[in-house]
Amino acid sequence: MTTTPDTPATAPPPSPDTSPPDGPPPLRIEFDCATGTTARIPLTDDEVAGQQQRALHEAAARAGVAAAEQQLAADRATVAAHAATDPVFAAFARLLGVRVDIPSPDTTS
Amino acid sequence: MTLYTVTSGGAVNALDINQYDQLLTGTMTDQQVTVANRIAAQLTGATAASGYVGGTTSGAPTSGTFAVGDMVIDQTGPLWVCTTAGTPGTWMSHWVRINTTVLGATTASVTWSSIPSGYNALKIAYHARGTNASVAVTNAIQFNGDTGAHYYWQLLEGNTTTVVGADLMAQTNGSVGYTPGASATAKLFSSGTCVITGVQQTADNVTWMAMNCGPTALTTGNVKIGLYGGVWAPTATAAVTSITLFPSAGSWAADSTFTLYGSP
Repeated sequence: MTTTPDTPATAPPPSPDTSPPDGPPPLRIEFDCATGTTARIPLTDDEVAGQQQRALHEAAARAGVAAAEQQLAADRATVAAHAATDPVFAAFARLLGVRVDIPSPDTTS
Repeated sequence: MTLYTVTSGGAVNALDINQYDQLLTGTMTDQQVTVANRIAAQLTGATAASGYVGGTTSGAPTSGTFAVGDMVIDQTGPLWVCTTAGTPGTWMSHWVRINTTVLGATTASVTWSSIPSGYNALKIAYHARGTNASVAVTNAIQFNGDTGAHYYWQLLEGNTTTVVGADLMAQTNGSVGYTPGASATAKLFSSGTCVITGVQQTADNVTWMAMNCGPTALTTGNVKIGLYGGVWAPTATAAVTSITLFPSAGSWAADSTFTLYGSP
């Protein structure tokens, strides 16, 4: 019996658009809870720059998550491959609650 | 119509009775009736004791004697119900919707400012999509306009059988979720809630906890859910008076909707 390790179906990390925006600066909305009024305010240059900076942070964060997902998939594949050939290891892995597709001892040949 | 006083010893005539009747029936609308007592109603099926007894500028009454079922209108939004009679008795309240903002056009961020101090916990519910040219963006949050590296948070995201986590320390914003961007399948929006507790504890840091579903395509592995929690640890701790939500890149798309609730 062969095992099929989990492979993350996660889409690749998003690629933020860090190019300067065209046209007028976007608006932000502020609701004043004390007065009940809503203001629509153009972003300042600093706030637009902040958007660009956040896009870079976002890309770095998502890259970190994607790397972790890849490492997890690789680790699971390693465990599953070992479990497929070592029933004792598979039993201990199952006992420890490792979430991999480990062949059941009574079905391994 | 101007009210007048029927003096002691004066004759009561039909006009007096008419005025009284018009006040009670609402025919006369330019005068308010002030009652220094409890206004009770006991329609069939709702005959347990209850009464409207007035209002406060903020919070439950702190003085006066009240009965079970008394109701007070708090001018910051909540209704309070007396559940144990006393002076001032025991009072209970509920979550209040402070504001709902529905975006009619692309908007960089949504801010709630001057959040009343009468709420000890705040809750956000949202339906969101981003405009950034990517599959998804992170739903960022900042408190009191603080853009410093004062946000420490953790995420756990899951799709199919894979769960991944990451922590981000000393960030310039926190996160409350994961939202489809412009490259995601059309018509997909994220759904999420975030609870922020201890918002009036001026000596403590503020902690939030959020859960989210951020679908980016109607295919396996792309209906991702997640938990996002963290701490806002500013240089000087403070009560939360302002919350800003913005996508980590780009802007919110039209139809994105954000609601703020408060719990006294």
